[in-house]
Amino acid sequence: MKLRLFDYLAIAVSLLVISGFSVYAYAGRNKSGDVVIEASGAQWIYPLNVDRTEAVKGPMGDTIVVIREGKAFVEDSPCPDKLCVHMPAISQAGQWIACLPNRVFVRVKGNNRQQVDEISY
Amino acid sequence: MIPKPIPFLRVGIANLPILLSLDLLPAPLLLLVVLLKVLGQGLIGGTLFSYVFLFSAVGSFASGLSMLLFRRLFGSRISLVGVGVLGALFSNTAQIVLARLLIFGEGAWLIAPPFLALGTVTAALLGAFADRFAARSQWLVSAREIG
Repeated sequence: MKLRLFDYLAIAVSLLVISGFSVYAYAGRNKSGDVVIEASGAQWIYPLNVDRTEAVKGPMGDTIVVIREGKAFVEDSPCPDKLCVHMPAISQAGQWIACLPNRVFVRVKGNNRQQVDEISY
Repeated sequence: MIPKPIPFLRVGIANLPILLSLDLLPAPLLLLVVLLKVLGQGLIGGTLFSYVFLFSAVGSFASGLSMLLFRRLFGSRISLVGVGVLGALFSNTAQIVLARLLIFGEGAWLIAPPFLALGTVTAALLGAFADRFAARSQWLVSAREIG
């Protein structure tokens, strides 16, 4: 099976295109996202890569949002069930934690590209 | 007829008549074969009035036209392996773009590399088979004489 010149060129072009797509689709996913906290009609945006603790004022009191090691979570909140405190820390774009009684909404805003939970072919 | 678990393989083999006819048929007739392939697959698979048909049509015509072009352009400096690889590249890229626009949005790019890689490999294999078949087949010789 003798391969001729343009066969090799065709395969090379194919590999180039595949690499191009790979870089475009898979790289640049580790850029640090931002946490958006919304409460009382106001909005705050903090980067995920700087540790901080914020007391977010709501109608019931202060919801404590902590950003640590690239993740954000609710440490304490004046609501009766504390569901928001039990929710796991968020770090990926699209994830969110909300305290409905205290009207606090915390979410991660990331790259424009859609993050996916799982890929199967 | 070949079991569904490997749908892409089935689609690949359907390109065999196209590859073999590249040298046999004039352009309009070749494109007619492509159309028949698309309609035939749509009818048998029951996908005639669905998104799948659109993908099939776009992919098949993209590959059919590009394979015609490259075969005529490069002549004996390219074999059916290269032609097939380029045809698969054009077909699959066109389908990815269509998927980006119609169905998946930005998520379509995620499946592009494995999809294209698989397409390249199967196209190369199919092209190699087509080349060997064309070299050895007596049936093909008689087909050439008819044309």
